[in-house]
Amino acid sequence: MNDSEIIGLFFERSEQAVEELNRKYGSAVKKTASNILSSRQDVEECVNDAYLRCWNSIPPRKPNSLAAYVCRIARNLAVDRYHANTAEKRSGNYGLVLDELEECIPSGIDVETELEAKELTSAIDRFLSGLSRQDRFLFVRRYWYSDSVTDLAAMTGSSANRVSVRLFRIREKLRKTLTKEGFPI
Amino acid sequence: MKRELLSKAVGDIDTGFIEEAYRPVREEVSVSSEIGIKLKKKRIVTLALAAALLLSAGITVFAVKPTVRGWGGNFEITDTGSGLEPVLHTDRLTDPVSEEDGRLWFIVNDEHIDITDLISETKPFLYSYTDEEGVVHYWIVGKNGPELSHWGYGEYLYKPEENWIRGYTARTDLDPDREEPLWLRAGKEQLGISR
Repeated sequence: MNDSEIIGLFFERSEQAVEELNRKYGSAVKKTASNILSSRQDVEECVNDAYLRCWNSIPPRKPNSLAAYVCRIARNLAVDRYHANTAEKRSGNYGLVLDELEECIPSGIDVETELEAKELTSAIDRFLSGLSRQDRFLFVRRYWYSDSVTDLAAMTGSSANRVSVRLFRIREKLRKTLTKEGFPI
Repeated sequence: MKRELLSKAVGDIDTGFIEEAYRPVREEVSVSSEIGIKLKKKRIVTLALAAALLLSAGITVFAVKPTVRGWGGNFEITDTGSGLEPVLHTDRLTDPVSEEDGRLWFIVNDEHIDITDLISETKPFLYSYTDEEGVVHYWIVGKNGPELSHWGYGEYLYKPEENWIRGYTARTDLDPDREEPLWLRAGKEQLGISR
């Protein structure tokens, strides 16, 4: 079933909408949450909450990309839960992702307010627009989907070492770009 | 630095980037835009005839969606009547290559061909078969690097009377300076697939 048909079911308020959403994107939604959270129960709750939010928001919303829409909801829920859970912060894949991201922020610059976070988002959007398709894929999969380097190596038919080197170079490029732009003055 | 805000900043990037990265497999829509129109016209005529016959027999026609399928259920192309709609099932992708005992085996169409020494970063392995619907499936397999696991592939669908339909590639190169790896480019040239 294509996205338009699934969205059509949401608009008809048919419960089959959630079944079809789960059939098509369930594994991706679950992977997005489990890349951030280590508890299976937390992941299950995030997935269910993401479906509920879709049910409550479509209509009136009519997302152009259902995959991105439901994955974004799941990611936001998982990140909120991650930050609320002290135990999560001590270990796990997402802690490493955040450590790597912090390397990209030039020294002396802090993101302390919502407004500064928005400015940083705009700067990252501009940076991503200028990357090659392959580098953009790696950046978004690592820092948005929080995929492990091993998973990325499998996805791209490359080695973990090669992916790590590539990611390091992309982070360096982002750090230089942000420094050059004088973010977030 | 507030890590929560850093999470949020990255989390709010443009939806287009998220959608693009959702699909590790790349559909090649440029293979045959002209062919798509050709296929659509032919299908519409066929469907009109079938509908007329069924209506004369008192049977109601609701919707008919002819679909062309790639190997392993990875790829489906449906003629919606207003164009071709390709769907890549990236969440349950069946790879055409298997790594066993330090060798690479091509396993499409019940084959078990040792391709370990047949492929490199510049040299592709090519294979084709025709399915029950008369669609020819052309495969291009190559290497992205020196290790055994560095393989990538593409599947391209062809109808003898209609030319290339669509294709996709997966596990292709990371080199930012090239749009596609050399093995893929060489394979496409040999098959006469233009971009």
